[in-house]
Amino acid sequence: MRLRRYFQLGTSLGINSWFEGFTSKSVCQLQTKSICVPVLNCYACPSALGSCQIGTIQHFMVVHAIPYYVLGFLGLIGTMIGRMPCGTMCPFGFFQDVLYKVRSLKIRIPEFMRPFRYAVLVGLVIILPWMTAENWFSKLCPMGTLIGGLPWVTISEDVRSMIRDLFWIKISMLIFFVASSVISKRPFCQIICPLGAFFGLFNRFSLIRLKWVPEKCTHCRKCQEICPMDIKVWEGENTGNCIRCLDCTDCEAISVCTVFTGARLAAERREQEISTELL
Amino acid sequence: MENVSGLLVGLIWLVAAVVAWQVMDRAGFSSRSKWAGFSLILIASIIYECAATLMAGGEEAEELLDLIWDWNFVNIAAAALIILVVGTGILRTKYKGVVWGISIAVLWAALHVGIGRHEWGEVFFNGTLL
Ligand code: SF4
Ligand code: SF4
Ligand code: SF4
Repeated sequence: MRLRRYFQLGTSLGINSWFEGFTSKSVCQLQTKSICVPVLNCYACPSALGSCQIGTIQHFMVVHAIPYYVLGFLGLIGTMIGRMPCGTMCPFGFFQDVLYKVRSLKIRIPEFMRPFRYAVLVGLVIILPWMTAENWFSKLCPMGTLIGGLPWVTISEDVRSMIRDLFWIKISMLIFFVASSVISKRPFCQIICPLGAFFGLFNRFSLIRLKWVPEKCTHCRKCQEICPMDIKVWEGENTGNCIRCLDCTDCEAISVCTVFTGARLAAERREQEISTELL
Repeated sequence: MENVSGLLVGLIWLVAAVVAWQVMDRAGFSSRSKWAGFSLILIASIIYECAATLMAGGEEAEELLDLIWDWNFVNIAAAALIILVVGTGILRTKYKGVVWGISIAVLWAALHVGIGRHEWGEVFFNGTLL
């Protein structure tokens, strides 16, 4: 088993380890709740120790304020490691990875659908909550349904009595994403997730980066096969789609570098190309 | 009713941005151009909404001015600019290390402002669960 699986499992359990919530039927109110976890994890899960950053950003939009703390916090993580929390820590990403292991028909998500996640980030998380004073993304979030809605309707009769149409819409969305995760790689991360979209914007200049060496690549396409996001590494190793899981670094053409060493190596390669041309 | 019209206007902007991307994709535009088109439409939507609020005047316009006419907003604006031009790949620079350094500085400043304002991450249980 890959090392990142232990991290994914450890983080998923670690940030949801206030098990008292299930018996006391209350949301955790500890100081830890003031920290936004850098992965998609519903604050309303009975055992959640931290808050959800996407929920917090929407909350600030609704009250017409700028979320300096959340943007600064997430931005610093993105600047250091890009989208790595998606590949190594996120419980919903882990959930989708596990579902994809189920033997079934497999299909590729068309690349043209990928930019939709930026529309979700700008639309459902920023513009629409600002204009309509409603948390549109949270209303539809399948992770909220999975670890927030479902446990609450199971343990609390009061919450059960509050079920309305929206709950069934959320359940349908969850079923859709569970089913699509069995047949395709991380559909939610590839097309919908606003947090992944946000972190992905840092991939091009984050401290930790990938380096692909064309001279060593045989175009065997194994990196795409192994990649949980179905990325063609040879077409661009630092695009916003990469979740920095590092699985593809098994290939000797791909390695981890920093924003400083990567730039130096690229400059050296350019110089080499120029001198070869001159020869 | 205001909410519904707001929702519709917002959705129209989003659909326009996604359609622009897809049209440019099919027409064989480069990734950089697609990003530029997509971002420009979304930025236009934000500028349009802000301008409409400011022109309408009243309490909302004052609230908006208070938010952006503020030195603290410079951090977020600078970070947004870097993300937009470098993060999306519209501008390909070889000085990525410098961009990285500037981002760290502005985002650290934003975090500092947020902590100073006690903007902790609590979102209150607001019924969206069901
Ligand atoms: S993109 Fe996927 S892995 Fe990343 S935060 Fe969203 S759900 Fe989690
Ligand atoms: S980068 Fe490696 S795995 Fe990917 S196509 Fe090239 S040789 Fe194959
Ligand atoms: S390109 Fe490599 S590091 Fe990025 S998501 Fe795919 S396998 Fe993981």
